[in-house]
Amino acid sequence: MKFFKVILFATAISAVSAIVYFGVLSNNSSAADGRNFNAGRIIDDAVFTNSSSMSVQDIQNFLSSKVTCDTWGQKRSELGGGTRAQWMNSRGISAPFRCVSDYYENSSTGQNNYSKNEAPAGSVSAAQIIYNYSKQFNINPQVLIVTLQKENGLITDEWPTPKQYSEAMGFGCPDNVAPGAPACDPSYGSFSAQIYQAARHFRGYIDNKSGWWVPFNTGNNQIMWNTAPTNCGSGTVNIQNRSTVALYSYTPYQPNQAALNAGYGLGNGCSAYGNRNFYLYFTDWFGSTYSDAYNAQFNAQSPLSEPFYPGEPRQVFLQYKNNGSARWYDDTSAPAGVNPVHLAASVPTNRQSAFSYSWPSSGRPNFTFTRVYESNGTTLAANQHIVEPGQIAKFEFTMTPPWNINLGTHREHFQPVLENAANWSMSGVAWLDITVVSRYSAAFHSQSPAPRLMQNNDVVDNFIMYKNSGTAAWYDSTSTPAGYYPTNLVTAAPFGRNSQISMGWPSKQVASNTFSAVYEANGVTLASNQHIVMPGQIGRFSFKLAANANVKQGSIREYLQPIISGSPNPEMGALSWVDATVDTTTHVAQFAGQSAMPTLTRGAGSPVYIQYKNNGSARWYDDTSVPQGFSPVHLAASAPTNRQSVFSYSWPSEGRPNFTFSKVYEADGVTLAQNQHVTEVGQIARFEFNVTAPWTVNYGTHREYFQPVLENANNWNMGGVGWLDITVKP
Amino acid sequence: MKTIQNKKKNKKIIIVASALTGLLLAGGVAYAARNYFSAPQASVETQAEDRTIDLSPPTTEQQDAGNDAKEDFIDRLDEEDNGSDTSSVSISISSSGQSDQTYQMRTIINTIDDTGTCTLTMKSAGQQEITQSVGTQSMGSYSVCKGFDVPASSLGQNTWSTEIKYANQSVTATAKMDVKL
Repeated sequence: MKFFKVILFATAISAVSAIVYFGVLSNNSSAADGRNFNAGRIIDDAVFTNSSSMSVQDIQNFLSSKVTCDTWGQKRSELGGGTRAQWMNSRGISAPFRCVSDYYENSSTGQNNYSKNEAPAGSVSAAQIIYNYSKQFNINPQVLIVTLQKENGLITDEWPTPKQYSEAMGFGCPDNVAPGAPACDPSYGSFSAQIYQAARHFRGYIDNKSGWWVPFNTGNNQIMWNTAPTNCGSGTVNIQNRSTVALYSYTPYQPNQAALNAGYGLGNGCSAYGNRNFYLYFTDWFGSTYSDAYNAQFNAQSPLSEPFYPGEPRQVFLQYKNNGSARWYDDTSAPAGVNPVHLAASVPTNRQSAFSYSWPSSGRPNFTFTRVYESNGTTLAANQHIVEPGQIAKFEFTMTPPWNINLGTHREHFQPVLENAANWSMSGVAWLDITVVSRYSAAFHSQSPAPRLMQNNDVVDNFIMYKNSGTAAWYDSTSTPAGYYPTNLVTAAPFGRNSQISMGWPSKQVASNTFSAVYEANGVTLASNQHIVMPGQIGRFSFKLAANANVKQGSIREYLQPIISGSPNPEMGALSWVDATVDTTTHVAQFAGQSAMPTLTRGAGSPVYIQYKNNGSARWYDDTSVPQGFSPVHLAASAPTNRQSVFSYSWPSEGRPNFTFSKVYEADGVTLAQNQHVTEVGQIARFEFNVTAPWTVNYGTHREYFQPVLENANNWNMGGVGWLDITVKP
Repeated sequence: MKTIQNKKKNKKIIIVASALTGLLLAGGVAYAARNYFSAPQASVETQAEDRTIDLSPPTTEQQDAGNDAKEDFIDRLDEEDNGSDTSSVSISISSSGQSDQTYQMRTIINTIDDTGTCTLTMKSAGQQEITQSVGTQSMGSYSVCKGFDVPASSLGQNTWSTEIKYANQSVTATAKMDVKL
């Protein structure tokens, strides 16, 4: 039983705690106090016209939070008559009874889902309707929501009647109607029409356009305490802004002190509650009806559909609405001691922008307003250097992408700031997405057939043609004007790579720096200028390819790309390549004869020769004919390789009897070839040289091996090992 | 019997204890739900950091005030469906003051009327009487005279006894005030 008592005690404590928590602490301890109601300044213009305060979803979430709908009227009616369903049925109204959070209506026809299970075609939610008209007339949707509540309690009503929708804002429902006339004008008899007319009238009262005859104005006004038949009279109210004018023009009564002392409750016989309840509901649900002193709301920006180009400045603008209660000054209008409002690069604060080339400072695009508009964003304000609350400032400035900027999209944040003030932040962070592209663009057009490169053999001519698909002219090294960059064809993937098969290029990285031809867009007709490729024309780069002796056999893909040489943004696309096949099975030597075997005495020499036939597929060069980058064919002492011969006294080196061909014969071995320093395939090269017996050599016969080699090449071995038997006698 | 009675007692204790434990658990779940699941939805930040939207259910006071507005609305509709007494139609001078070179007077007529007439009469000792007539305009829930803009030069620095009379085919109403310049 003790345990049972403990449980009971704990339960009691928990229950009390829960009651305290849910019943007391959840009450809004900072509820609005009617005694703070300022009759001349119920709400500030910036708050009243802040149409961006809520999204549709925000409105829907809010409406849903404020009501738990008794859709089928099951609870007891507060108006008597049994249940709510019974009360409704007695008036010919059938369930479902739609709350505002569930209400849908077709704004054109007024058809809605009240008493229906499904929403009619073309209908939208009440949240959407509120949002639409708040945007159309630039009225804070919170103002419309609060007006709905103060007119007939629709926002919190768990079982509203159809008339609470058709007369939701009380628009078209005068205090007095002629006998027989409807209480409310049926031409405004839908929720959409009510919201539309209320928003439209709020805007009309604010703008005070000609022909509206708005009954109140800023300054002193006589505003009644209650409806005329009560004979309560009126009191003077010094109205300070147009939004307060609008509220009184919509509901032309002011609350007396009894009403203001009563919170949401009742005052006395001369109390009116409309504007008091507006103030209380707005403050409790959405915060203060007063705006910050300095608050900026993003309004508009320049369209940025076209890209930016490196080095090219372009004008852009950002517009901000003065959503605060203080006046904005720029550098030309700020009185002494008043901080001006500047547009600043932001995120992070005081960021230095890369696009700031022409700005007064790298963090401030502009120190003055370019334009000041009235709240409609169109009409120029009287003073172009002061932005009154509700007016719109336009900051126009230049964005210049630097030459070395990375191409792509850069998000540049900005916000107005109160310069040099401790409370500098005015909100309103906005951004411009600056997409930077190059004016230079190339598209591959065509190229020569894939070459077959004979190692250490012929040089092959190649070409690649590119179309100028950009908007800037291409110049080559012969035509580039001062301040421009030439277009070169270079090795790519990666850039600056040394080519293995370059031959006669300006460098191993640059295949060509001149156009070999420039064609019109058809690729056939030669252009008038053969060194400038205008947009749409086609430039041809010619270059040579050759495989030196160190290039491995097989396929080589040589990546090439046209670039703007020297530019910080050199790339222009059109990565292309040449697939070359390298044939290395080309240097084969076949022994083709030799001189008689020499007999020497110590210190004596004798001329000898060895002949080799070019039995491969590549041309042989000697030292006098070898092109740059190729390897010559030398006769070498052999077995072992690079052996130093003792008979080499007169040779160029101890392992090389000769660096040149002595004779070159046609295949018959008799007829001299036309070129005595190039051995074509099938021809025979003769290497003549002297062998000299040193004083220290042993007497007897010495077998000296020789073979031709491809000097300094990986594939140096050409076969054709031969020998001379040299006899040394006393 | 004794044994059986004890078993019944124990059974009751178990039932009560289980119920209380269930209540405790439910309370705990409710508390956790409020703190850990509902709390993030308590407010939504908007653009201005100091402005929040209250997403909690309406307070009793707010609910009651809404119900009062609804009852007034329904009562008023019921009354007006039966027609109003036209003798309660009135006009009031809502604002008057000088703006630039004109003295402006604006009015409110507490009925809907696009076809009425408003007549302004201003009298001052030794001054020529000023009279203007304009039509009426509906503002949705009430009407206004289409504005009286009197040249300030014609008023001088005098006190004017001012009367605005509204009339249509079936009703008239008058508002009076003294204008001191």
